[in-house]
Amino acid sequence: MEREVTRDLSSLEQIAEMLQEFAENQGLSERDRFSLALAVEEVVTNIIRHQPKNTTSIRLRLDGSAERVVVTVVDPDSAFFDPTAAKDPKVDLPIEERKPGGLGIFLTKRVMDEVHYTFHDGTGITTLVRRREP
Amino acid sequence: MFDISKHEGGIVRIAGRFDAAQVDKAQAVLSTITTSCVIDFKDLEYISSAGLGILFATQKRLRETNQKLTLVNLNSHIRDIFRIARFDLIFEIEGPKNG
Repeated sequence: MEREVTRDLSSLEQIAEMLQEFAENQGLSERDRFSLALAVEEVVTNIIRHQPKNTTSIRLRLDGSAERVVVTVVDPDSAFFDPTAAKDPKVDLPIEERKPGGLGIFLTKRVMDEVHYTFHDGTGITTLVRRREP
Repeated sequence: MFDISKHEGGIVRIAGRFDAAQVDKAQAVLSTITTSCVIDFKDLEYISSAGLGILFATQKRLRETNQKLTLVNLNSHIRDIFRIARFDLIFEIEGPKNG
C-alpha cells in the first residue's frame, strides 16, 4: 500500500486511516497497530518540524508479511536528518531535572524492532520494521 | 477525532486520538488547570510524544504550587508507552483493574 501525504500535521488523520486499513487487511494485533501508528506519526512529525518550508509531499509505503511489517517513509525534499543517531533522553531523572522533548524518536526505537535511515541526493528514507506478535 | 473536557470535581476527560495535530486543542484546556486534578483516559485510544509533552509541561507547572495531575484508566498500550518514557516517575498512574 502506498500513499502521498502533504507535509502538514493535518495529514496525521489521513495516515491514521491508511494504517487502520492496512492493519485490518493484515490482521494485525492491537499492540502492533498502536506501535505502528506511534512510530509513523513520530517519523512524519519530525520530518514536518525539521523541514516545515518544503512543499513536496511525503510518501508512505506499507508492506506486510506473516512475520513482520515494514513502513518506508520517503521525504524527497530533505536535508540530512538521521533519527537513528539521536541521543536518547535521560528518562530516569526526577521531574525537576527532566527536560521536555526527545521522546518521539526514543519511543519509536523502543516500539520498533529496527529503524533505518538512508540519505541520497536530497531524499531521506526512514524504514521501520516490527516483528508481528504471534 | 480527539476531545478534551473539564468536569466537576476536578476531572478532565480525554478521548479519541491524541496526536501532534491536537496539541493546541489540549493546551487550551490544560493551561486553565491551576489545582490538582484527575485526567481520565478511559476513552483515549492513542497518544504520541506530543501528548506526553503537554502532560509533562502541565505537571511541571502545577508542581511549582504543590499541585499535581493524577492519570486514571489508561489502556494497556498507553500504559506501556508511559512506562517506556518513565512517566511512571512523573505521574501517579492508575490503570483499569482489568487492564
